[in-house]
Amino acid sequence: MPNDLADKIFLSIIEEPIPIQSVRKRIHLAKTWLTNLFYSEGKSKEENGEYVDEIDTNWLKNIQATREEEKDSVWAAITKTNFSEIFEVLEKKVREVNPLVLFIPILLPTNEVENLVRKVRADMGRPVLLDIRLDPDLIGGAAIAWNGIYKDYSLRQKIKDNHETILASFQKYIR
Amino acid sequence: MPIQQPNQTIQEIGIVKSVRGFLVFIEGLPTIKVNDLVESNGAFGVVTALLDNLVSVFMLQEISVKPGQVFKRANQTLTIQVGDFLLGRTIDPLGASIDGKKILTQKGTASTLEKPAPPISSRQFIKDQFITGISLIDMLVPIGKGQRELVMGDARSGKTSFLTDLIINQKDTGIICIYASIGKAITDVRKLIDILDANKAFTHTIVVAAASSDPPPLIFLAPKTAFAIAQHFQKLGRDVLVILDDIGNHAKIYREISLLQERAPGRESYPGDIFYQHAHLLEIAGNFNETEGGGSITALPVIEFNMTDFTSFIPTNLMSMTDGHLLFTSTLHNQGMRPAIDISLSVTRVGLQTQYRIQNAIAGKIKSTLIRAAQLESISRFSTELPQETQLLLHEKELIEELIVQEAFMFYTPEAQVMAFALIFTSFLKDKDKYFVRLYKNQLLTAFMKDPRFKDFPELIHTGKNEQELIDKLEGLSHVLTEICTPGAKQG
Repeated sequence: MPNDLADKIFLSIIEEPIPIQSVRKRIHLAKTWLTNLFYSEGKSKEENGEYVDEIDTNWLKNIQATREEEKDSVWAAITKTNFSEIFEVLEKKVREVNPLVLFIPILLPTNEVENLVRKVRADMGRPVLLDIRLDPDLIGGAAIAWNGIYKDYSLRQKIKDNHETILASFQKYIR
Repeated sequence: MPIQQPNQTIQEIGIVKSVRGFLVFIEGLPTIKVNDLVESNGAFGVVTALLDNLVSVFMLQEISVKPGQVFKRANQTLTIQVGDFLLGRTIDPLGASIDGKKILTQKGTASTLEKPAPPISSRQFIKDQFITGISLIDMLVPIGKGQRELVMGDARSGKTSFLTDLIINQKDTGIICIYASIGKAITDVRKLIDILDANKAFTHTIVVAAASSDPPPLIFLAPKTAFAIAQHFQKLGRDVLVILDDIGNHAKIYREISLLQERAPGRESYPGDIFYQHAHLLEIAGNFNETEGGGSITALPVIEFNMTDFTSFIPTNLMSMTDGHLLFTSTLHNQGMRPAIDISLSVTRVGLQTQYRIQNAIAGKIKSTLIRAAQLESISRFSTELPQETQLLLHEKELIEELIVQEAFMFYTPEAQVMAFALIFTSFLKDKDKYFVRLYKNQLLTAFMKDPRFKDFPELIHTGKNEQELIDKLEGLSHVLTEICTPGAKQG
């Protein structure tokens, strides 16, 4: 049943309003924690704090607590024997997932990202995963790519579309 | 390569899933086709295969591609701009100038690199000789316009100098020469360009160069680009010569690409379709009728190999898909033979039909003399007194061998060549030795081309039925020949 268990773990991870980058990070965190647990006699090494933010650390603490306290939880069902297979399936799932790619010109704070994910999921009516990428060339607005089709709703595109009008209006100020 | 990015809000993109050297696997690009171009950060790749959920792309530039990188569809297939502006230029397989001269911005005709060869209905019989100006080739192993002749041999056998001469000799014939340098050192290409330039032969030549340091997919495209350019000129009714130097490198590059794609290796680790790749290229050559624009494409693929490994996979493949081959050997080259072609092992399958009747007959006599003399030569080593007939035959062989040696940058018209070879069978050279021929052959050949006393000969060679007519006519001009071969004699 490692496949079913992996499905459940995957759903529990993507349930939260996080982008695909965070999903990958959380799977990696969980894998590191469980590897230490099973193969380093519980003496887990300190995680590198550089790339683990507070939200992810809290999430990790949460699942560690769940494993301890709720014996029927999915995290408690992971054992030394099924661990490797479960994470293989999980990593494959992440590789194969088809995210909605959102290009934005600036880095957004975590709560804004969460709001964005919630909004997209509500609009699309399904737990779609968001791949948020930074593209400063957009200037403003955003561009979306889904199934290989890229739609540009950015300020850059607006300027391109209206460049003649914009240039004409600038001409008025040239003496 | 200038790419016009569409000014639209919707376009196709793909995201890199994995990278293996210059091979990139991309997810997305829903309506992309094979040979379409994709672009990321100014670097281009060409789509080579459509897999289940992925698109396989070969990068045409040396850039580092990482998983997650976004590629855009360039809305263009693999094409280059072709036109007269390419003459005298050196370009890479994507059509960008690499000769340090002005950047090529001219808009010519867009020509796709991958298109099917013209059908049989648009081809015609090869009837015109491709004049190389080199006696040995034009007389004994003639090439027709539209023929595919493999140039093969071992290292340092004079292949490149022969090819250079060939291009230089086309400067007054109106033939356009396209030299595709496939995976060679860029210094070799530079040397070739300098020689062509010094001999004023670069104005009718286009060099397509992909150096050994270029990405393998780019090297792989070099012969395709050469043929795309050749097809453009051929459709305008021009005769084109395409030299692929060397096709063995092309095979090795294709093997590298295929192994990287995890395609099953076959004989000598080459992929199963290596024969198709080369045949597909070479079948573009030919002589075309008016429906296809007239003109012809003569192809000379070159392959270098070790003479001990004569029957290896790629050379035998190429031998089977060409209309003959010229075999160069370093042994002959070291003996002073120029060009160092082994006549007995060289073949031409369509060239003979392009020769004039008398030219063909004289060539037949020469070959027959060489074969008979070769048989008697070994016997003659054991005997001091030989019959007069045998002595004459061996003497003729000696003179022929001297006559076919041609120094670099020399051009002789086919008529002059025929007259020179016919001279072997006249009484004029009966009592002359090879040193006499060595000393006066250039004077004789120049006189045959320019001296008004020989002005009737070309007509006789073109229309004559019997070689004896020519030999007899030359006999009648013995006094003129003697005059030409006098030290310090003035010509014409």
